Amino acid sequence: MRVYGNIEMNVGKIEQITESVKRFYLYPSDQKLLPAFTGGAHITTYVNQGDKTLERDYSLVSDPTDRTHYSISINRDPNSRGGSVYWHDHVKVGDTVKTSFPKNHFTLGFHAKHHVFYAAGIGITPFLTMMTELEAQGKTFELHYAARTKEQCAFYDYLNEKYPGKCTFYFSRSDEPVRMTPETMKNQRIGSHVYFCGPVSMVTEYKEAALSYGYPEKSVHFELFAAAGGENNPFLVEIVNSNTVIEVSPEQTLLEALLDAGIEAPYSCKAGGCGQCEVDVVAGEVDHRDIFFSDEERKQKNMILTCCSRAKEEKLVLKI
Amino acid sequence: MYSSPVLYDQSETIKEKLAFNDKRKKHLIIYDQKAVSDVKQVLAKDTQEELEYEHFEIGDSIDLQALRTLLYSQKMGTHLYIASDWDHAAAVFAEAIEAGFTEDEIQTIIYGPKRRYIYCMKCYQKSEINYDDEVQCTHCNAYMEVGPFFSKVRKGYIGYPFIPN
Amino acid sequence: MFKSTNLDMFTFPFTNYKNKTYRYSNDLVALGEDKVNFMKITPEYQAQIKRKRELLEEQPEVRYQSFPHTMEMQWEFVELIIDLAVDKYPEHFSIEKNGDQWTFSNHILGEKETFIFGDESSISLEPYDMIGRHFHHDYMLMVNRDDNFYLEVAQESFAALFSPHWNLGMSFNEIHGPVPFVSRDGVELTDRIRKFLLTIEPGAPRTRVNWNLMADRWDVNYETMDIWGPEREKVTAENAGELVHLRVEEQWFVRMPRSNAILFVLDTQFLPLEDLVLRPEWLEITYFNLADIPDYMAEYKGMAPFLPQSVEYLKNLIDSLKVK
Repeated sequence: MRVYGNIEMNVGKIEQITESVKRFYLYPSDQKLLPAFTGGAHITTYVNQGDKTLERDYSLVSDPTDRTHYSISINRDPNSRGGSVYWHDHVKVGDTVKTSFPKNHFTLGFHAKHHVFYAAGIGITPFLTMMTELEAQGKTFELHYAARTKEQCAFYDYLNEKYPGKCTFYFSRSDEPVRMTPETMKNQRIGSHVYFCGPVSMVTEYKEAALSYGYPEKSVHFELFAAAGGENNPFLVEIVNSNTVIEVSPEQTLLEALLDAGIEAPYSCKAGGCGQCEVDVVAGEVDHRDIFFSDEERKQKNMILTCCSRAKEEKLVLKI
Repeated sequence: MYSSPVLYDQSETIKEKLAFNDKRKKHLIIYDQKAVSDVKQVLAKDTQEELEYEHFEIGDSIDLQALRTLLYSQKMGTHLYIASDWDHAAAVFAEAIEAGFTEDEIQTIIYGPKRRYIYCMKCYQKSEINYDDEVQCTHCNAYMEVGPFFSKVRKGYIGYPFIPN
Repeated sequence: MFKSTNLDMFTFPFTNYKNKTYRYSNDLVALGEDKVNFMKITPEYQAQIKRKRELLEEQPEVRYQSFPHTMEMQWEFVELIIDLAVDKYPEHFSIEKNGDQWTFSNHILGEKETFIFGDESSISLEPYDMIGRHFHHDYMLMVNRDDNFYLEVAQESFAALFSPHWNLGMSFNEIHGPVPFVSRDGVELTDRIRKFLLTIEPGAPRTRVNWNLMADRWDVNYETMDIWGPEREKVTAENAGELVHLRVEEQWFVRMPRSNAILFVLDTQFLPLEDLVLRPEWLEITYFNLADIPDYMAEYKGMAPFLPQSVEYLKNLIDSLKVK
């Protein structure tokens, strides 16, 4: 059984599942069994692009207990950082890529009595394995899924067939456009947990709506595609316990600058959604760009998520 | 579920007096005869028009069927207030957790004494205790110091065994 | 009582400390690939296994606990343990897999375990308990639920204020709960460690070393506090060398992908203080460290009643070596 490092994979099959979404099937080069995983899990993929390595996280969409291969579904997004375009345009059957072990920062609420999923576009991916798990455990759930059209709605037929009556689709560019709204959260039974996956604007809207309807924070779960943007200022970081000062350029995140300087800063999702890169702030004001912490938490303790947040002024003093 | 909350004397849900949680859209108040006058007073004074209120009065004993029907029909955004003596509160609390309420959605106001239990590490049985630091197990008579740890699975405080001088 | 006899295999705990002194800190270290496999067969292997099995036979309720819903997690554990053992010690352990029909052989003890992988009705013990009885470690499975870790399976034979029976189902914070647990610079650590555990991912296990002193005891569990509590008083500066043991816990933290749990592995090793003369540099460092333990930590670790005698013993021992 594997316990350490990354896994070398061969791209065994590529399926075009909608106009912009491809599904990649990855098989371990050593042909040994892969680790099984849990619903909502993702892998970090490493693809060589010239002398650079593209590092991207994608949700697993294969069955969590199928240990022969993993598969991921990628939406080609020309406006993103270039990972999805590279996967679509350059990765071919027979290529070798590396992946991490499955990780999960988007787990099902253990005490939930009912699970309600909200997906926008390719945000459907983590919910596929979550629903597989819930179905196997005989738990109740429902899916609300927004796409532009039926044709652009990845896994539409699969979902309809496998979970009849549990899925509601919203097509914004069809003949009779229907918009998905957070209102459907209002009538959920006590003990419901809600899950959102989509662009930052969608997740923010749904999260705020859930809280305004009286949902406790612990019943609200979400995963983001990418960190929220903003003006990127250069600033200095002093690390008190190692007596170093590092410059963070506008092109870098604070986390990247720390790692480049050889500091073992913790991290995982790099999108301000998992909270794993939290570091204590000794001095300086933080421009919080994550949606992980509530305003209350930010007031209570002085910390920063290094993957996306920055200094408000020219300097931060941190303890790592 | 094994990790489901239970009502114990240091439960984070216990408050001195009823105070409505302003994050919620609906307030469900369950109370017994000991709390009835306090609850009526609060309801007369603190209710807001745009919010919903529902109450359930416990008479001599709890009508379990009616209680369950009430709890299971609640929607998200509801806050539960239990105002009663310990035994009624413990029973309602357990039913509410089963129905899907979390500790963040429950406020408990206890009338009269709270019950405490110790879990004997010699015989693995539970005894009721008061606030003494040292007690004797009612099952095996072992002497125990009441420890600070509480287990939801064993439903009591840890009892460290000792041999008295 | 056993002790480590091959000192090259003993994990001396006081190595990386600033100013030669010890404080709690969040000191989980990332592991290199060569250090990940925690299997270790020492000269004490057979004695330890014999003792572990006796404890599990005599006090099953005390030493092994699990929830019924953990079976799939238990099989994930079985697969991990067997693969690590066979990988590191192919001369001692082997596995034959015919589909789901597995036969695990322990050549040191001359034993075979045959079972259908994934089918707990094919064995008499629970899977975790069965395979754990072939290895001297203590194994705790802390399952990540919401944002905490809950003890759902435990097999233990060297407790240090721990009890599978008592701690079953408790969260990481509940287990460490009300006890002050403070770092070198005074930070409350329980919640910080919980958050750190959340960052441990599959494929990147972590390790740390913990230590304690024990007075003439194999384990100090809650169930026998009435016995070992008073026994600590019998230590004197004269008998401390023989009675007091340096107890080292080498710990591994492995994220299990299917269980979404942290497997917490403890390798517990003992060295009587008198054996420190075999490594004079260890003797001196141990003395410096023990002489500097603050009272609250001595209380927390349960060594307060015999720490001064132990320090005095070490001082006398060092002085006598200097005279020679």
